[in-house]
Amino acid sequence: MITTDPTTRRTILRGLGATIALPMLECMGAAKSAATGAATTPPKRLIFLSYAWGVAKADWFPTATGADYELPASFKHMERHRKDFSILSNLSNKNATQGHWGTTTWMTSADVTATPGKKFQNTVSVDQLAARVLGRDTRFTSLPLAGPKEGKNDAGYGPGLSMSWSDAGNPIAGETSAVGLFDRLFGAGEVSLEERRYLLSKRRSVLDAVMHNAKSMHTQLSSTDREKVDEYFQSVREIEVRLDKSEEWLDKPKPKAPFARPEGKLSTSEQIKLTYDLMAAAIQTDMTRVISYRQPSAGLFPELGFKIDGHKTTHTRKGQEPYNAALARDQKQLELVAYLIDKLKAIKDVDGSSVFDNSLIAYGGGITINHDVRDTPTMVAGHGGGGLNQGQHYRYESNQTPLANLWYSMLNQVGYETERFADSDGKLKGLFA
Amino acid sequence: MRSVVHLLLLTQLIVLATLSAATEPAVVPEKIQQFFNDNCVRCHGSKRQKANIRVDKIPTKIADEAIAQQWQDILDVLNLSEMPPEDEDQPSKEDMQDILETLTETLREARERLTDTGGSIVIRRINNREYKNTIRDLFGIDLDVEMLPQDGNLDGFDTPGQAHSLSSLHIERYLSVGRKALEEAYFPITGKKLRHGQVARKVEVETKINETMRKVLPGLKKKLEQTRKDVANGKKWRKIGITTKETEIPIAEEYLTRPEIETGVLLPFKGAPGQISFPLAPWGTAPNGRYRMKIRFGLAGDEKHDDVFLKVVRGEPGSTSPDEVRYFHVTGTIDEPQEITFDLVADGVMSNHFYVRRRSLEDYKKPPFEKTEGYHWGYDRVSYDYLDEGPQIWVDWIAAEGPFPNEAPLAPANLLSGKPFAELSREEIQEKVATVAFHAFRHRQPQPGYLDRLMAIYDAALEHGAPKQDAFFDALNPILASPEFLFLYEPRETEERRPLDGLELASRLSYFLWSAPPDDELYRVAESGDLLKPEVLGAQIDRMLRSDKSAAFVDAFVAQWLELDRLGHVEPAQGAQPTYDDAVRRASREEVIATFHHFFRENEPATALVDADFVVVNQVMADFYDIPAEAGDAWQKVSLPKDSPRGGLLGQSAILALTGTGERTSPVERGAYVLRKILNRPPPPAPANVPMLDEEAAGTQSIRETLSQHMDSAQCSSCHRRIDPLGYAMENFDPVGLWRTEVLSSDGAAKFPVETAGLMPDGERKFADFTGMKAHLVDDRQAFVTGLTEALMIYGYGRSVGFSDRPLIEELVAKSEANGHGLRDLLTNIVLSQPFLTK
Repeated sequence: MITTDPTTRRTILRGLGATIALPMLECMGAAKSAATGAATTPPKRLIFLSYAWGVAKADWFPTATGADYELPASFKHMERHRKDFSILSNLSNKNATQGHWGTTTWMTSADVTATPGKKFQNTVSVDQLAARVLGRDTRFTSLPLAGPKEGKNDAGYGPGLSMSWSDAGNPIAGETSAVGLFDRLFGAGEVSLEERRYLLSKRRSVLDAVMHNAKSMHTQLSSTDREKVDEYFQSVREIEVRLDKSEEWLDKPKPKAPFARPEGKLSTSEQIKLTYDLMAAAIQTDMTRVISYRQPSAGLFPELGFKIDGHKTTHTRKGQEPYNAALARDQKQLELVAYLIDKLKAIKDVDGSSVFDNSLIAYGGGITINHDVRDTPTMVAGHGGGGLNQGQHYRYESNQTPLANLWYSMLNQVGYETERFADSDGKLKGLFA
Repeated sequence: MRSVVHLLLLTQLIVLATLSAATEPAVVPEKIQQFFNDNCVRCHGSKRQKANIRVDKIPTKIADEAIAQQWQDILDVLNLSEMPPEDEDQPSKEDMQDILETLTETLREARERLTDTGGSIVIRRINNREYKNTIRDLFGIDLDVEMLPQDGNLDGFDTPGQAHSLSSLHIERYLSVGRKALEEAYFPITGKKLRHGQVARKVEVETKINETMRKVLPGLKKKLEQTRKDVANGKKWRKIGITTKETEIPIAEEYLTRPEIETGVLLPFKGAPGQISFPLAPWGTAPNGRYRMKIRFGLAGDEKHDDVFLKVVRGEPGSTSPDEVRYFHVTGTIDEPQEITFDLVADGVMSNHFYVRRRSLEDYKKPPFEKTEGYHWGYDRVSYDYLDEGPQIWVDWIAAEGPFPNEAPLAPANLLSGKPFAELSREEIQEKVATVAFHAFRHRQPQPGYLDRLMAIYDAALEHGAPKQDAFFDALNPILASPEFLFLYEPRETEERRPLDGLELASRLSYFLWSAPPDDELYRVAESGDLLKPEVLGAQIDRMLRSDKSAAFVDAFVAQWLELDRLGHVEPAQGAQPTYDDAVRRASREEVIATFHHFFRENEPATALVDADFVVVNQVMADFYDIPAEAGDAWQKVSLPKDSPRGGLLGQSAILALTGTGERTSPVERGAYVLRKILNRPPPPAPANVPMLDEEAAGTQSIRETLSQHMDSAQCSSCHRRIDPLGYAMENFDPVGLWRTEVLSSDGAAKFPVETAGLMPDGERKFADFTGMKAHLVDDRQAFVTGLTEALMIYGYGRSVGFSDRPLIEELVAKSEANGHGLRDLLTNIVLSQPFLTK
């Protein structure tokens, strides 16, 4: 009674998860077809989810293959989606050599030491290639997200600011703040058309000014320095492309936010859940069709009660405390993935199917356990618009099957024409017919 | 010192040596080629090419990455014991170990040669720390920059240009964060009130607490009576709360009878009150800025205690992760209270709410509390306070004052003087925009075309009907996202190296030593050209290191180099380390940084970081190490007793703890740390896909016995024979750095005497224990100084050091040795080195 501190919970997530009317994809599709008279085929969408460190291996990979495998303990919350996802054993990024890099080359399958004169050089990530096709008609070509900074810089993830890498192999900064993502998606308040037009032209003038400054610098720089300023040019151009896009979107106001702007500090699982809510909202309003999300779980989920460093979970085996922590983390992560799947299943697509039917979610990471970067954990959910054999456990040839085959197959599925991706040597048999 | 500067300038600044031709590629040594001839060529040679692999055709000169990769592939299969196949003759373990070690080292060197940049410093963007400081110095505001994308790092440091990418998200965020900065900086224009000095209060903390207690007590008694009745009437569940109330009421009554409470608060009076809550501003959120806090307090009672500390926590109410915690040694009494003063910065990220408590064990690890019937789980905390019979602190008052204006900001000073903003003409506005750009671009005039564009934004805004101040902000906004502001701009039109001009040197220097832009004085000597004079440059370095702003450099450099963030993962087992509390954990980190501060300021020899007869400690650390000293709250140089193991980095709790988990030590991590930081021989990362030793599975074995398996296979022993013994030598230090003579097995069931004897990495020099190993490390001081020099170069140059820097590094190390290894001299010579002074 006599303590003087009011122990109020700082975080108030007002109305989180409340369902609020968003412009339905169905309606948007209907409107479009009314205008063009074209038949409506639902767009395809790709979501990539990864995390730091590895997994509790003994409870992640099933023993039996095929459709009747026993669901491993890590997947216990995924039971209800059993027919809608597959576990893929023995995929490897063969060029990966760093046992502490969980996400750096997960989506690029790159050999980062292959560039002469550079200690480290990554290559373009699969989502950025897919976005060339899927991002044409959406407000955001792609949406790279990353959890907020945790602990020592890149522990468990490896270099990178998200899982996405640009065409030139430079890191793409992921949106790390849930509030920042909220604002980018839904903006701040109502703005009139005239105001939006003015803001757009102002943004162009601002870019014009900074470009002027960059250009006057550029001519006076040594060749190595120029590379850095080129990066600046490229970034400005990206924004300009986005502004061009905004111009097309000018008469369409940003959709109303589905829930209130979040405030305060969030626990790790709250953060992920909120991000999933925002991802679902972004897809529902068709603001983007390509999302990558590097999840904040380097230090595990403190709220689960394990006070250990994520690194410890890669030096452990079944029965030990860090292993239990890893297992609890994996279960929590997949519980949240199951939640995301629920959300996507609940969103009706333009043709009456669900968004989930037309999406592919790749979930996994570049480390198995014990510094091991081969035969890494991979799970694919969703039906990608059809043609997949879901609901199975596939076991590929150990150490021999490039993870890039999955990326290549996914690119293929969404209509990006290419002969290969990184070190891919063909389509991923089984899952992709 | 002055002569050193002079000589250097003569040889390096004036006569610019041209760089030697491209570095020669590394060559695979003869013995490896021999090994392949003996063991591999029969299957992978001219006659047969099993798996299409032919090892006799791989070039031995590693001239490009493709060749390096071929050798890397071979190293990988050797490391995985995939080759030679099991059914073939196997090379001896010794041969294998030697080959693995040599090939690993050859590849490391080959890559270093391949990635050499030729010594030139690449243009670099200011990182987020520097951005925040730059905004502070430009506008005099402390801005929340959390929205900026995270910085990358190279070789562990956040300064190298190559570590920094720049994406469209960056530009968008520089614009939005910059806009916030402008609105805050020019608040008088926006019509907001001048907010400096808004908080000025001294609170007699007892008033409210006494009032509340007197008010609540009667009701509580009534409630207790009612509950007793309810229970008597059979409502058994109401029992919850009876015990707590029965305990609380007499404590509160006793508290209110104490005479001291009429003038102050007694903490922790068995939990009544357990702590004092103090918001910086009574109305809620205080404006961002600098504040000064004062607290007056003393030890209550007649007993003497010299181990009592006042704990001041800053953090959100209810949060378990405080923003800031400070401890103050209680030396005053009620009759002669002490007064402490400290400054703080509120920036919207750091909370404005304070709690004042007494330091106690409970802050870190609650001892298990026996739950008696009737106790509700939620009452544990209060219950523990009930049991606290320890000494009490009497707190007289708490005062807060602020925010104070920052030191005269660089940009807006002359901007807000003169005519009222509303009366300014377009020309005058343009002048002001040009002034801000000039300061933001670190005293370079903006291009006319650039200014035109900014003014076009201003005109368009006015035309659109925006208020004049918004149009002004719109015009200023691009400045804070322009490359000339974000990059340390050093034009060079030819490929020829050139000396820096004064302004360029001033910027490099201030971002090195302050993580911030130059101040007025540095600009003055830069623009007059005096900075290029050796004696002026030397004097400026001294002045800058003495300034408080150099804390930004020392903190960042030391924390990044010595990997201090790993301390965040150290978590001792419950009750295992009773004296390692929150106070020690925080102070131990600060100790490392304070030590370097002292070394830079006093020019102490770098070698004393390996071994010394003194430490730099405060009272918390002196008590923890059991060093008899009156250190107080400030960091002091304290001489060590003769037999103390504490001197040097390796005797510091933080360093000893960060290599482990807090529960157990890891000789492997410690040994690798010594190799990296002290011997400058970083072991290669553990090869991927090779299984780890299962330390935990070892059961009742000693850790030494378990790790001895490392010696069984060539794949492990090629590195671990150099790593593990250094770690064994430190086994006398427990997981938090306290001395021990026995160590538990991994299952905790058996105890073993600590065995420390071993061999140095050269495999020749023996040592019996930690002291013996340290003596060898002191003999190898050149390695340590080399590593430290390289680290300072990477941080200060903002680029990785490569093969072509080797002659310079050797020169710097030799000079350091000749001058007695003074740390400030070393830093000065790095500033005076050719790469730092030239573009």
